[in-house]
Amino acid sequence: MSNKTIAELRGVTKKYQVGETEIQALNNVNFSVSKGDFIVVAGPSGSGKSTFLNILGSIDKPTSGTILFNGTDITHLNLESLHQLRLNKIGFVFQSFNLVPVLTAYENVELPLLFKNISKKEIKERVTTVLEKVGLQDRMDHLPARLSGGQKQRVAIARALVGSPELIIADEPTANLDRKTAISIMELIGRLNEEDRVTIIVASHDPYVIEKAKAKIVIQDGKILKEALV
Amino acid sequence: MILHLSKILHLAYRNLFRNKRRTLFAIFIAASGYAAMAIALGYYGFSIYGLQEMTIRNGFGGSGGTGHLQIKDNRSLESQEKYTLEFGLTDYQNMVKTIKNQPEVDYVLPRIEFGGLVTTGDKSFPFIGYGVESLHEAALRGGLSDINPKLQLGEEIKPLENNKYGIILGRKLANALGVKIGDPLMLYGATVQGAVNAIDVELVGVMSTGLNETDKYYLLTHIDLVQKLVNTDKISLISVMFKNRDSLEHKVSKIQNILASAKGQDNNNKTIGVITWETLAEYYTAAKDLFNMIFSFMGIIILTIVLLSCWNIMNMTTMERIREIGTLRAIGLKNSNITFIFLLEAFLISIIGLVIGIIAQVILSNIINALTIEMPPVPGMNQGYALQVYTFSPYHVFIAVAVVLAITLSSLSAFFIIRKLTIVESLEHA
Repeated sequence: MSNKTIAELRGVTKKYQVGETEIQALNNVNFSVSKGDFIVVAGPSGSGKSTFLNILGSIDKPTSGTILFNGTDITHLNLESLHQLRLNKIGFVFQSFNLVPVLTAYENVELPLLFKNISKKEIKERVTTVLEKVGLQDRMDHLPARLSGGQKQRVAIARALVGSPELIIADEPTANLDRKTAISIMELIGRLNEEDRVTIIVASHDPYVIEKAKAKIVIQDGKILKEALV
Repeated sequence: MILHLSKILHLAYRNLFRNKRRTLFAIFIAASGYAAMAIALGYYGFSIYGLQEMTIRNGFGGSGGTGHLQIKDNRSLESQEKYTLEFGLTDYQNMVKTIKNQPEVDYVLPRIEFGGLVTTGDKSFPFIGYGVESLHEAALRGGLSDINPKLQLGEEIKPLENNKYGIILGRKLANALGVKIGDPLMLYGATVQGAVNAIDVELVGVMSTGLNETDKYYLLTHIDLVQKLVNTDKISLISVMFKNRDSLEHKVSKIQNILASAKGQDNNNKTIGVITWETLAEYYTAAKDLFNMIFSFMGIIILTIVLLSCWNIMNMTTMERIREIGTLRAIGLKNSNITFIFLLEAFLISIIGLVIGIIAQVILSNIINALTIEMPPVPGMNQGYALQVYTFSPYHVFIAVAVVLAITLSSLSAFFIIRKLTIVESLEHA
């Protein structure tokens, strides 16, 4: 039985205008990700990895082409619908963690839920569960400044997970971490994919990350060069 | 939709501590903006109230206060008298007695306005005179010292009580005549029949009316003396002072009803009308309009400074958090959600600033009041007054709301910045 396709790019091209120069970040890219996939997006700096993830995560618009999410064309959705899509279906993990510095680990994870129609009780249950899942049950009340890099990234992962998204997009999640911490973060992401069938797409150069993923695509000069199982 | 306001408010509160110096500065702007406007309003409130009471109790130019209302012949408002007391009130004693019996009435003051010549024998000068019941008139004018301790009025009229042939002259008129207290003088005036009459008087006092120009012509004496001089039992008007200004309209209509029933019985009093103090107070109305314009202009300037300063601060705050804003938008928060957080931050700043501003305003107002700083006389007048400010008036609530609104709305700068940037641009912001 084939897995359900979650997100799909069809003939997506993205061009930027920098001064008088036009830069083509993506060139006629076709791609799809299905439920339970764990895909790593590799490629040199400036190859278009981040643009690819941004468009897939609906935080950027393509110049041409179509984006489908659960079979629905979201290319031309209005801002409100895109906010709802990201709030309910997509989780983001950033290279620099991007936590709110004045909020504790618990509050950072709780933040996206405050704008959903969820009761206080359910928020508490969900936040506690995901923080336990990422191993931070003892650090819930700590501000980001009092957490290590690895712990911060775990909080970021918990924040991405807490809305039970269908797709998690992580842009270089281990780039700011030491080797040992990076391994533990990738183990966590791998475990989430294995045990909870969370669909994950990670952009990374890190060989360990690439090794951990189930599939890999390589982007170069805005094109997907190859798509293969690791 | 469940709104987790307390949590979002908590986030806004925590954000205040990100850049403490900037937050303190914003709070200082809110506090000083409120305090400045509130003290100015307190001064305005006192000035307007003082002006009202001055108009009602003392008047400008020595003619006596308007009282809360005046009873006079309506024709005197529209045309000049051909002879003294042409439009005077007859049989006023009964009217005075009836009105005095009303429990809400404090003073009923009959007055005569007249003119003539005052002479020493060697020198003569024209005067504009007022005949009054001196004891009540002094008490009424003395009431102003309760409002403003620097204004010691009323005392100068009291010598009239001991001498039924006494007169008080304006300072400049007395100087021009070269007379001192105790000197004999003679008053010349026209009787109501058109003849010239003269009466011997004694100078019992010299006073300043507050207006330099009026001091050259001013004369004050007993109402009985004036009636003797002009050979009549009429008076020009009756000034009525209530115990307070509460429900003034009701009190005025009550007096009107009393007069209406009196008119029914007396054909001579058919044209008598009741005129409220505001209708008579031309100087007060002009001064109030001027004050309104000055203080409104000042208020708008202070409020604009508060708004622009806070707008600038919120701009800086937003620019510092662009990357975080990008993250929040990426994880699904709407622009309006993020703007709401900024609005709450600004609201908290405005509330904290307001509380500090109120405390500062009350302390400063009390210090100013305790110092009884003497203000210079207003143009055309020769008496200063003590600077006093009211600590509270209903308009202070309006200022508080205006400050809170201005500062809260300044956070909309965040909305305009957020709206211009895409999420990717925000996330890439250094």
